[in-house]
Amino acid sequence: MMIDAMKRLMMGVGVALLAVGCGGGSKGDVILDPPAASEGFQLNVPKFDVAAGDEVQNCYFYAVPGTPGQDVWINHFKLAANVGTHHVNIFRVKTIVGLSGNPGDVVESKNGMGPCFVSSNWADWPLVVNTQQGGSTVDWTMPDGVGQRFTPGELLMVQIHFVNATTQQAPDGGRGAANFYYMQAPPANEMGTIFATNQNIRVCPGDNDKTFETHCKTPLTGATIIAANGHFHSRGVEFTMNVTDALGNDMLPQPFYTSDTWNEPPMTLGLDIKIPDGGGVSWTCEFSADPSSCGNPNDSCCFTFGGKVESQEHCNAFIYYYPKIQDYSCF
Amino acid sequence: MDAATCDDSFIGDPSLPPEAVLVITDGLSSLLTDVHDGDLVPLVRPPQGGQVTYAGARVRNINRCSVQLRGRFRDPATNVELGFDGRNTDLVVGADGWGRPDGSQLANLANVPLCPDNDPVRDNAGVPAILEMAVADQHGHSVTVSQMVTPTCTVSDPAMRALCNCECSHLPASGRMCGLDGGTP
Repeated sequence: MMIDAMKRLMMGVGVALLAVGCGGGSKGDVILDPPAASEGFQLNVPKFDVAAGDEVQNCYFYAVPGTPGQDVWINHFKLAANVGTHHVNIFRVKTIVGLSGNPGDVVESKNGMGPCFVSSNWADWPLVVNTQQGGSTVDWTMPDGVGQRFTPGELLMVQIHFVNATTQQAPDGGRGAANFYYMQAPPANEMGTIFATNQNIRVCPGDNDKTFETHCKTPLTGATIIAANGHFHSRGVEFTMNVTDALGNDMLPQPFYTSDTWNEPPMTLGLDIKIPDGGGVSWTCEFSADPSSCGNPNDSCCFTFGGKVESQEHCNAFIYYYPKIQDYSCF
Repeated sequence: MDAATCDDSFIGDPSLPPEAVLVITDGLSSLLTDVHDGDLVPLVRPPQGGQVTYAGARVRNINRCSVQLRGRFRDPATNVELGFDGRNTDLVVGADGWGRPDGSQLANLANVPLCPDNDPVRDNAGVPAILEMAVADQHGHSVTVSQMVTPTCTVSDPAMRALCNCECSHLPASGRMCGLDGGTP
């Protein structure tokens, strides 16, 4: 396993910390009180430095608390991160390729280098939840009768990315936390997630309205989308999602998700969008690049897929639905 | 080539309707080859994982800049869409008078996804499918072509080929785990 840095920090499930603030310049560390032990648990990311000019992406590992043999059901999240966060993505750990850790471990990566930046390392790790809101708290309660299931001891990975460079700034350093709140009883419907990523993208200086659209066909029947958000970098102009029928036709006259804000894209909650049986979800990323910009100087200054915000691009969709058949990824 | 330098010249004869021939590449060379009815088309592992066919079209009687390529596989029995990828690109005009996407950049071609196969019944590798390509320029010229093909896992490495076949098998109710050893479909 290629891990350039791994160390145990003062982190863990249930440790108090974080979240205040509301975007923009320095707001201090966000403060998010952990739930009472009987009400839930917290995944806490302690503060770390993000030097000027750097992008830091760290992967933290946690075990879900609970009594062996008894499922843990969650229907309410609070997610918080300091100003300048590019994203916080939480995954269930599955196949180990080049990234792993035990509960309490952190794998640190910087400036596009290191295993926490290599997307193939978590290609089959199902999404749990994500946020891209720096300096604010996302407070999300699922619809009645819907919850997300976990297994006590299950390994989760919190991937947190801060940028302190040209496109984004992190004046307060890196810090974040996620609260998971228990349900009192198992719900009628389990929530599933779709993590869809279009990685073979290329945007070159002078490109206008360069568009990439992909359909994610699902095996779902009677599924309802309840939340979604899209993710791209500063060349991103518009991110949209729609649902498609079995023949591939967009079904809604207007996308159910639209974002033209690359650095603080909305997390759209409260959706009630039916996925046609045999159909799926379409997602489209539109990009433009200034003629004077430069991504990879060794590739005609074009911007291609990668986690480094300053010089690479993404086109990722995060979709939450019920009832779950299984978590899966689309490429 | 990019939008800032693309001259949007017309390829061919403006008095004739657009023409297109489906083309693919194996992802290893930049050579684009014509697709004929009944051809095997390679399923290739793109950077993100899964398996795609890199497809496009050679076209004429169309403008060349920011041309939209919308590629999809369909089930020939039901016409159901099995995978879709669309993107726009500038065409390069060859000595033969046809315009093609620059095959040296796979991002210029539709990365038509077929696997992981999320269908609970249908296997996708080695099973005939319709490969369709809809082409449209920015001036209202458009044409759609399709061929019956057999998407096939052709990679020479046995482990990668097993992975491809695993990912292209129907989705079991119990879920799929495909490792480099081929995993369990």
